[in-house]
Amino acid sequence: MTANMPNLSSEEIFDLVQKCGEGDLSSLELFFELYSQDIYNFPLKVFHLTEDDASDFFIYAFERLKSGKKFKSFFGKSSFKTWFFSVLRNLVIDWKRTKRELKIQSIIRYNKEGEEILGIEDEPDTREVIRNEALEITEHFQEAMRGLKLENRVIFKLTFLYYLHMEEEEINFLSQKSNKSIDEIQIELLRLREELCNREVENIRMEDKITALYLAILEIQEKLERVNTLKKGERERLEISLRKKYEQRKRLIDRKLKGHFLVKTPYKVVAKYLGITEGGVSVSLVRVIEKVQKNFRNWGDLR
Amino acid sequence: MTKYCGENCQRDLVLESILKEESWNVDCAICMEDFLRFEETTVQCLLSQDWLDDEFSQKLDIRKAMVLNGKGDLPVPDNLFRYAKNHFNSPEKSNQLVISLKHNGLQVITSLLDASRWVEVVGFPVAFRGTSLETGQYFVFEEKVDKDLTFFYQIVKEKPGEVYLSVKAYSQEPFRQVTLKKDGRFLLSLQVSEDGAAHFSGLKVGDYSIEFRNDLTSKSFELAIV
Repeated sequence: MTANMPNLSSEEIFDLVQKCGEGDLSSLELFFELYSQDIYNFPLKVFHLTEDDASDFFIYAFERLKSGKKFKSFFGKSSFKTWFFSVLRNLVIDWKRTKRELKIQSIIRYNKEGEEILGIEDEPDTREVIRNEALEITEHFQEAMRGLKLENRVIFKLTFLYYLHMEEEEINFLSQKSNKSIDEIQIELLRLREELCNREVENIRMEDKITALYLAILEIQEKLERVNTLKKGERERLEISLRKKYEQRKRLIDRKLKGHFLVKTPYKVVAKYLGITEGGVSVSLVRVIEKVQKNFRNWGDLR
Repeated sequence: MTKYCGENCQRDLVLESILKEESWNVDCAICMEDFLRFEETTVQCLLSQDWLDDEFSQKLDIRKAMVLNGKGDLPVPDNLFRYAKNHFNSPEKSNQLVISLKHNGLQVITSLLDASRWVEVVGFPVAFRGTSLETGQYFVFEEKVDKDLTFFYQIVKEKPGEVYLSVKAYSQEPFRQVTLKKDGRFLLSLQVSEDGAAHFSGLKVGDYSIEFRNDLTSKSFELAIV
């Protein structure tokens, strides 16, 4: 039993086990919270299993106990511990029978022509290359940011606050422009970021929708390709559904390509901080983006 | 029949040295050979012996558990707690690949695998992704789904907290597409390579579902990394 387990009376334990037997989820969760340590330690102490095997057994026992069915055998005739250890002992014996050692065979195999083949071919590891490239791009982006005028940089970073961090100099600038203390600005930025997080959740939902549509399209295509004997009406219905899904997906992808799935701070908020118009924010952003893009093009040519 | 080694028989000396945990100063090859054979047989007998399931053994085990209860308990590893917490709502698993990440490698929970169709493949390790591997850092399994469909799974712990999985299908009707979902959420969809393989790197703790598809059929399997 766990060291910090609450002292349950016999009646309370009986009730808990009864509810587990009825499949009550919260009781099962509580039971595992209280007695996981027993499940793990029982085979270690009684059957001298290794810790690896005890882990294997723990997962096996959890899978067999979580439905609650095994708890129905507790009627309170014996003490809870006697009953529980009997259940665990039976589970260990079942586990041992189930866990037959997996057969082992050589990795070298031969095809019908008698040629030696490997189970799975080698795969080059390109992660390091990709990671280095990403670091290089990030560094260059930061450099491009540093090359911008302070006001433009603040407009850009504030707009894409969800993705970018503001430096001390930029926060000071915001403080001066908005006549607010640095502390106030920091708190407001944190709140703003929290709101932007919620928008990101919505964006993820839309991304998921694109994927779901893609999978649905694959499924319909498969149905159409597979069955040549479809009734005329059914084929038409599937084709209409396929067309609709393509359109829905295209609309969403267009929105994504236009940057609608990017989390942006509303221009109104940015304008308010800097004491400029929303149009001013929009124009500054276009200029900044053009400049950064140009910078990247030149850099790409040099690489 | 053991060959008698003569008046200078050293069998007692061998046993005495072991009991006293002293170094073995035995120079009789026959005595030593006899002893090693005896030791090997004893160990094999102990290993192959099934646990007793009679009433007396049951009472003894339960008594032992009662006496030792709460004494010197080892804490349950965090990843096992997490597994339990996240799997209350899922159906009981009877054939699932569960991989437990450990500090020094990885462990495949084999009790949830259907031993009649899974085989661990060992031998000369494939040069996985150019990484040199140590024992316990990788496993290769073969799953024979039916006579026309076999999967190979290569599981490698490449760095702390991350697993690389490579799956290759041997099928009469080649698979075209493979999709990977994590915790019910779609992650990616790939074209299966010409030789029937798909590779996934950087898999972290979570529940994965991998589905191979072609025009006629699909085959999916569940993988839990804990």
